[in-house]
Amino acid sequence: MAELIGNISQLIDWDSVILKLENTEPGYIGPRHKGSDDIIGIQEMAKLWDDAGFILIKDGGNAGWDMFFPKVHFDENIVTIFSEYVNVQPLSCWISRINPGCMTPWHWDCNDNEEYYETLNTARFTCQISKPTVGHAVMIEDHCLYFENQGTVYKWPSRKSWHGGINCGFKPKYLFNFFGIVK
Amino acid sequence: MKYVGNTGNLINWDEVIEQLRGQPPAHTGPDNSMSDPDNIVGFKEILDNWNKAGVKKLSEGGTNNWDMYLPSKNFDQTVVDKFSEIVQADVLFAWISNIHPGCMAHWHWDTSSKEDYFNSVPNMVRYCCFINKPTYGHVFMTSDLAFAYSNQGDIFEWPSRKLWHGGVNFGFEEKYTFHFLGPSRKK
Repeated sequence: MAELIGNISQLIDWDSVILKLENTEPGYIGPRHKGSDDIIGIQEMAKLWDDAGFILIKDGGNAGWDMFFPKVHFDENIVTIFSEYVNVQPLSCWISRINPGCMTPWHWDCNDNEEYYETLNTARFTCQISKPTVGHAVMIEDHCLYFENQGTVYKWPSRKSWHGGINCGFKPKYLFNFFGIVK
Repeated sequence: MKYVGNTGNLINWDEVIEQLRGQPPAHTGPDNSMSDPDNIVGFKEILDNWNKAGVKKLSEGGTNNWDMYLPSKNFDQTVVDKFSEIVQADVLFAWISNIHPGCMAHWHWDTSSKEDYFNSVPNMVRYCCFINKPTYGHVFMTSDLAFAYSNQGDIFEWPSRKLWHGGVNFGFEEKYTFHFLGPSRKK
């Protein structure tokens, strides 16, 4: 079960971050990898998605999410503040956006550097950066996060926890994602 | 939402689901309502919200879609009768919805062409029952509550028949839910 760490709203003005992203083109629309890519976990996941009938945004469906990155799309200082808050040295950080009617189907975050990450003592966090909004849900293993206060931080059971997100509401759903090395 | 209890051994939901898997639905939502939106109280507002947010139904290339199965036609009426006894209410309308993987029942309340009649019935109660075994990616949401990984057979009473809600399936299994509406027998 995801572990509630606290609330970081006093340290980061998430409304300002979101306001800037609202008018920013994402780095890309996930998923970035193709099902045929030679990356640990991808091919198994792609088969599950295909068998279930998910259709990616690029193919006219609703399975997909926007990806924003520090320095490029939002202030890197946010990562520093968050890193100190959870006491974890950052390895990767991004903000995802799921638009109304879209979803991130059930998956775990396969990485290009999976073998390297396996050697490290990592921790994975998310922060609910939108204000509580109807129709915005994240499910991490068997735990569903819904209508959480803005700035609420959760530590995941594992960096490789299976999860998914959904937006059946009317506003874009933003989520701050972070993993790194436990100090 | 008030937890009422679990249907326990009184209804074999696995058997009901297995029966539904092999047959087409009686109809699909929201197409059924969209055929005549002006004659359904409240539906125009829902449709406007969907359109503003860019939500599209399946036939338009979107994923706002759910199947509707009806008693007697698609599953045994005794399921409704047993449920009716459990919750101590008489049925006016019961159905089983199915949301396919990748689809959702976008934010709405259950509008009906029988709205005037439903409004005239005293002590109306509305229940839903999660009939799948706990499954990843199945979430049902109301204004400030979400139900995920629910126990098979769990029954919840809604605070209002007109509660706004949404159901989603970003998992790999079909998501079935039993719904019940009718006047309570309780005084």
